[in-house]
Amino acid sequence: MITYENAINLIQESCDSLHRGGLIDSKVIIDKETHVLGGKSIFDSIGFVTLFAEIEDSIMEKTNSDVFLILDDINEFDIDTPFLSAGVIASHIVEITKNID
Amino acid sequence: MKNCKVIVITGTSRGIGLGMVKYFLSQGHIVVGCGRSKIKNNLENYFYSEIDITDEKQVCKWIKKIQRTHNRIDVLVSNAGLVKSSLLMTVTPTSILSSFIETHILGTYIVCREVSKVMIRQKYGRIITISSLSVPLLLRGTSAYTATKSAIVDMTKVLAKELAPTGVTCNVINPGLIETGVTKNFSNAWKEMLLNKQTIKSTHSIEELCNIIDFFIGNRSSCVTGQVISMGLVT
Repeated sequence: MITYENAINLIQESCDSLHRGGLIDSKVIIDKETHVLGGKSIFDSIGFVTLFAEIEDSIMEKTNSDVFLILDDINEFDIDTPFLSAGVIASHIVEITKNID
Repeated sequence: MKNCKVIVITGTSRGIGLGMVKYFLSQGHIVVGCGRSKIKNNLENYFYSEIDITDEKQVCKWIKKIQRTHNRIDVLVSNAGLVKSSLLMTVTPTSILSSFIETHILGTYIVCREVSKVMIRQKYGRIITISSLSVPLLLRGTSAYTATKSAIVDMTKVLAKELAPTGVTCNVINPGLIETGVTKNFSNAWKEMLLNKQTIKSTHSIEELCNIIDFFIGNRSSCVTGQVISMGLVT
């Protein structure tokens, strides 16, 4: 399982990895309030997709399990007012990894 | 091999899909295919999985597995499709429409979406979707088939726009009549009707289809995206 703090770190590491790979222009500092999807998001749509894929890979590396981040599965996500913060994603990561040893 | 690409093709258990597998293997590429059926696979550099492309979780796992095994996906040929008897719209059961929606729209959508995620991170990729000549020809008796194949065309064009900044191109091919094991079930009258509607009134080979794919996946077509090639037809 992954704790909330570990999940925030994992999102930070994923952002750092994207920055190193040239997939996002500037270095991003993540906290639980950081907007990753929505009007105030620090990412464009392609950046957001890339971040999600990077987070999935990081979770798989850490847990050795296939884990997929699907927007429909995130309780706080509303397609009519699309918004996600790093904190909401971190809570979701905790939820989907809680039964993994 | 220097120009060896990792090519993912859906719907490869038979017909055009299987023909494409053999062609691209002969060109020295690595081919990853899938289908709903179990098959015996003895081909070198060919990796087949039993996958239902309408099952989101199955596709997600499959694509991740390909990425982990081969480290990249250079090309997707979204070919999986259904062929069912033609009926006028007034007598087409909803179940037929649903099956076309599931495979052509949902399945294509899920596969393209998951492969796109890989290609965006690579900053490179070629997506080719296979639609049908029934779209420009608007053949009678194909309302469900044509409506869903038409959706593939527009879906691909939108994806082409979305992925343009990432170095990924997306294009569509409408194959002409290609004789395979699947088309043996078509009546001669139907084949004749289709050939009469084509501008070039002859059947096509899988190799001719693959030649078009070869163009789309080559470096020389990097500025070509969102385009539709209809084989043997002036549209």
